[in-house]
Amino acid sequence: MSKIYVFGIGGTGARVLKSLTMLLAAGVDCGVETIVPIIIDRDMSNKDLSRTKLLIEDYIEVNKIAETKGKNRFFKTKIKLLNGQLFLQLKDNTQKFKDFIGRNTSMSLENQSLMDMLFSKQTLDLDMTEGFQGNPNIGSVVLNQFDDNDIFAAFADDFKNGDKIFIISSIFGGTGASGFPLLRKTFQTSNVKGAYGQDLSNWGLINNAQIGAISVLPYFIVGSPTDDSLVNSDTFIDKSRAALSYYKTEDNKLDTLFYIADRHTTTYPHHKGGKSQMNNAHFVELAAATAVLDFVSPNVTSKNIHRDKDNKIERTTYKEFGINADLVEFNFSNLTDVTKNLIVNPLSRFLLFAKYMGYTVVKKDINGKEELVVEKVEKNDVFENEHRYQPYAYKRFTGEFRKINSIQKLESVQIKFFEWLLEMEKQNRKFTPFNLLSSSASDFIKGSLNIVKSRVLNFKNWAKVDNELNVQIKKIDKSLENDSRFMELFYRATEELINYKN
Amino acid sequence: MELLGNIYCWFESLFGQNLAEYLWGYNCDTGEYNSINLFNSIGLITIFITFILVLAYYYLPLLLFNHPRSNRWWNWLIILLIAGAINFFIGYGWTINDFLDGNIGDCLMYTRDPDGNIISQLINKKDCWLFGLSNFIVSAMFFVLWSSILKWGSRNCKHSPIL
Repeated sequence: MSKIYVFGIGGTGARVLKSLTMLLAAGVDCGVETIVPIIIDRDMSNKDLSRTKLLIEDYIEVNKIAETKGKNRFFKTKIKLLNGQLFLQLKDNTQKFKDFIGRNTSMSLENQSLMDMLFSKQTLDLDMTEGFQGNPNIGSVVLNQFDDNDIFAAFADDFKNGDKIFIISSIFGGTGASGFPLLRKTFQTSNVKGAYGQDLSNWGLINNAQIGAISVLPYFIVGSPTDDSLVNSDTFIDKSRAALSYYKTEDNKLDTLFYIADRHTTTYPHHKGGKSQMNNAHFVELAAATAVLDFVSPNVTSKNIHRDKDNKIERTTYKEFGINADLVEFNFSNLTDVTKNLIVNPLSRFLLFAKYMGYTVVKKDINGKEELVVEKVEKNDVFENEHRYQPYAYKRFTGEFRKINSIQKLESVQIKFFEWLLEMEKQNRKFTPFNLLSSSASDFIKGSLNIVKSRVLNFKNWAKVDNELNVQIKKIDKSLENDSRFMELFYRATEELINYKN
Repeated sequence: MELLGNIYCWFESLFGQNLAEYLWGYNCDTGEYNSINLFNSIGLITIFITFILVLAYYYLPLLLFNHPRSNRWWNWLIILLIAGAINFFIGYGWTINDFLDGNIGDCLMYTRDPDGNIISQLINKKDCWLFGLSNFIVSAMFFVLWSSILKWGSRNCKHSPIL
């Protein structure tokens, strides 16, 4: 099976990759066996990046127990890091833009004057360690060094015939808007050399690889700056318009180009970057992640890819994402059938699994303000309370089982999964598919979809889940390690209990 | 078939030798054991009732039987006590009816002097209660036996109790 290399550029790229990882953890259908994520950003201290990195690291650990040769789909798709790294670190670490272009060191007076005409003093003095702060004109200059990197050589080495490339970027910021066309151009430039001037292996394959991208249009705005930040959301629409007019030149250079936007925006606190840049997850990011899955789906290859007999792109397919109604709060019922078929079962099954492990959302008083937070609640921890009694767990999942690394990482992802769902509820356009406060095994899915078996024989609520676990344990390959068996067991049980069909 | 009678006789000291003789089928008129062996009758009913309740506990998909919330040892113990209580009243009820209806032979009931006057009563109501208690114990024994045989195929209760 082939791989897809997913390049996430900037903060939006990192957040979409996070949503993609959540979907893969939940077991969505993915048309490739392996996803290789690569994040490109100059702002390495960005909290969105570090959150994505931690999630992917946990995912990779859990993926090791997901190969059960059975039905399991949780964490099934492999995520592989090139050279063990998630970030494509640009080698040049110059802090100020004017130093990067050598305005004060290598330019004649005439050129310095030209630079002063093209860029404002504020832009020339911009500290680029916190990204390009919404300035694609800077990004397009600084990012033009992708190939000068060890990871790029590793990417070329790793690339095989049939592998695909996907680029995620936002159009209204700095890094993504400028990085996307540069990166696409680099992939399709022949004879690109490595960091040490060496030929890059497989570059011919990369030149002709199927390539898709999603360009995320504005879906949030930022408040007034509290520092010397140059980010100004008043310019988001204009920047998008300008970038889109430039992207016209990308026509027929990509196999598929996806667009997504949301006019009902949330206003985030203003941060130019760094550790304080941590935006809540948004449904737009989840939907953008489904673009990657759509691009690799074998069911729609004929719609997405139009190549001639010489494997040249005949025309670019353009796709947009939409929901059925323009609602400020929506759930699974408001999604199109294609999206429902893709995400309803996996998200619901994985949430049921996480709830069984005791995770839930509770109201808490924080600094005199009632807030919703994700916690493990002892009385809701059905696994802890039941594993001593239930046949499925007997001598398998008892004792120190919960302390083994793979299970701890699994639970770590489950907490993050809950937080991710909760964050999507906190946006102005709320995606609220679940009643996260519910402690029930039956009524936690909102909307008119009746997909959870409400009663199995005489079993209700969590007894129904335990009964199913006790049924399924007999069907699982006994030669599996306990942690893999655990994964297979919960997938099978939740699959039996939750089954949405159109 | 004397197996059941022998088992009940482990508790003969509780309900007395004379009631045991009656239950063995001793006939005062013939001096032989040619009446019905009531140990077998009561014992088979006891075995059947415990079997049905054990079967229900481990396999019946109804109410709280074979239920993921009923697989604690105390749930099993409650069913054992219910089976024991039923069998207690069967044991007591059977013997007290025979006692009150005069079905127990005179030679087993009384010690008489040469003039036929009763010197002492050899079987009392208390013995019937104690036979009921003995049947409770026998019921518990069979409950454990059936449990240890039948539990392994149960979906939700196979490890209840931990035996």
